[in-house]
Amino acid sequence: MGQMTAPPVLDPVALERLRRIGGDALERQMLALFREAAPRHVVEVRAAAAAGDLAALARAAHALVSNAGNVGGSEVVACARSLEAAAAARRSAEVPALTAALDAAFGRLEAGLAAAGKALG
Amino acid sequence: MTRRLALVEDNADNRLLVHALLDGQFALTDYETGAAALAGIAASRPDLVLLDVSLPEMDGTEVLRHLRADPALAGLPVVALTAHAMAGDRERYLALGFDDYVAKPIVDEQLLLDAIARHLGA
Repeated sequence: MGQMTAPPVLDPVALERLRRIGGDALERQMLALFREAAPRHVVEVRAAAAAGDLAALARAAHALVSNAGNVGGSEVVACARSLEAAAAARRSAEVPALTAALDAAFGRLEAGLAAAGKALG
Repeated sequence: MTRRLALVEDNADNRLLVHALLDGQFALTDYETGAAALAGIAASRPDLVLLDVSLPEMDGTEVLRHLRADPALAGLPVVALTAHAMAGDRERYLALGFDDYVAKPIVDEQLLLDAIARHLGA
């Protein structure tokens, strides 16, 4: 009762849509962009959280919403949105737990992509 | 004649998706910052602007303000691209002076195509 279902780690609809719009090539390009940018933004999130830099935290979390969203990483999108909102509202006390949640979700997304055969060497 | 669109978006994967959706139908020019967009749009006068609301440095609403303040660009359709689409946001973006908005990540490409078609004019 009143419990929200967590969004899926990897919603296949996003990648399927990319293949429909631009074939395997578009999917590969989007995954390559994810691989290049997303880990960097996760590092930025951790560094900003540790430094108490809420503006940088909000920017990095916002970038992750797009990166993860475009490959179907709904859980990361939800975590990143929560973190961005907390940072923007200056709710510093919530940052450590939300950052840890985002970290864990990102690990699950990378594992999920690898399991789906989408890991890029 | 091919319609020309300005895409103001700092995120590479959002640009990739928009290009994949629109390259066959429109000529897109990309801008990654508000400052570059204002200079480019004033010079090239596109038919419509797709504008990310949350750009770094100068944000999208400030870019819009500058566009609306330029009499030469009056009537330029500007569609907001926003990751913050929630109930009531549509009214807020329209009140700010955007002609329309499309939520990001773009999960339904038809919404983007429809928004563009609605505001491109004859």
